[in-house]
Amino acid sequence: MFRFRRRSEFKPRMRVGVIMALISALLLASGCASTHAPAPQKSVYEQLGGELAVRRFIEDFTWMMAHDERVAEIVAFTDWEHFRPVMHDYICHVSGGGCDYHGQSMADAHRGIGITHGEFNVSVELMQKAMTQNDIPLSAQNRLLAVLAPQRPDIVHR
Amino acid sequence: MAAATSERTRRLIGVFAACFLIAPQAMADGRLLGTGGAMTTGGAAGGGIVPWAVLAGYGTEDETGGSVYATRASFDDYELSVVGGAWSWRNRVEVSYARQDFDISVLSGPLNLEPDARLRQDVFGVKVRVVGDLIYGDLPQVSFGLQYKQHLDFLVPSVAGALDDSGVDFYIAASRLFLDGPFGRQFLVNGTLRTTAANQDGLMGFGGDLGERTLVFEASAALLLNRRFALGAEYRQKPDNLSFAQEEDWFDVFGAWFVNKNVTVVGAFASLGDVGTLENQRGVYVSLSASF
Repeated sequence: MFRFRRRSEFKPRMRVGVIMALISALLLASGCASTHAPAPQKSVYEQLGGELAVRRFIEDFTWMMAHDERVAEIVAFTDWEHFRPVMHDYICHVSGGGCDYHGQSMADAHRGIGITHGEFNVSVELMQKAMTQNDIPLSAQNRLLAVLAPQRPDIVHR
Repeated sequence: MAAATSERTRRLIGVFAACFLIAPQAMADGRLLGTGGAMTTGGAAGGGIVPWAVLAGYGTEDETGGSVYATRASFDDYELSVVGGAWSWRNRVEVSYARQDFDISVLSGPLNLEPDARLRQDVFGVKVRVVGDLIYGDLPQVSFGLQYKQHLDFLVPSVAGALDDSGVDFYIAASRLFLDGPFGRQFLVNGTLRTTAANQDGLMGFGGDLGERTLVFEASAALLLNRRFALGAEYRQKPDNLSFAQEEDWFDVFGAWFVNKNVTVVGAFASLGDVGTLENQRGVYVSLSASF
């Protein structure tokens, strides 16, 4: 069990090669996945389940937002009856559902509210929860989040 | 030896119990589940053996938080126990501490050591998030870190040819979570560059007859199967400073269970290669951390 090991000229580092290949394959896979984000045929909107599924999860999401004390401050003046259809049109628009969006830009809609990173993350968590509750597949959820994520600078600290 | 082992086990159980006591008193939970990573054997937030750019705990820009943890790894001939913690300020600075305890009683006979021989060291760390964000924006999250390591049982490393009983590692880490990764799953990638003189992470001292400071590369990748479970792999290149015993690169595959924002459990299969003349050390790694 115990012996002094002779150092060889070259260290057999096959293992390292295998690992590096694995990591680069994974990196490549992720690169491909994120460069053409929506799946070949179906839009993200369709993957979410189309209009009915999206309207349902927005219904649940807005209910959760309206009743979560962690975001009470930022939704204090929100008119939910007005908000729901606008949010649907926006999500439909950005997720390839083919809707026109005539609402405010994200920057205008969130100006002056001063949403913190923490409050933003609460809304992400509630959106995930609402989607899960409506049986929206995790892959579609992640694709929607990836579509929405670039808007964050227009939403937080405005 | 049995007494020493059970004493250490008791200490570990104590930390585990503390984890669950601290856990309910959540303070900082503004970040998304999983984005605090796990706790490395060196005390910094990351995977198991590679520090990531993420900071410990779930605190955002206006919160402070952190994690305490205990890790146990059993290899073919050795055992490693680690307890430690990290505290993060406003998702900007992380300060960490870890006590590593490496059981080398297997070498007691051959090296004529006391029966419960072990190598212990303290690791003090600082990590600063410099730029970017793990999830949002154009840049990945990039952090600079340093780890000051102080060996506490330097006799064996010095006989093996190590030059110093303490050393400092500097590293830069970049981490990114792709929301829409392979298979529609979230995918985390981390790369770390480290300059170090540490032999076996410092457990065999610092520097030696074959060299001193070396630039090494480390990497991690993890696929989040859902919001609570992740599968991943890590690789850590190592220096090779001692002609006494060859040192090889580390590798592990891990599963992480983010129970909630307070408790994280990690299990791994790790391969350390040759350690202290004993060949091909493989083993199982379990880590439990509590965030607050």
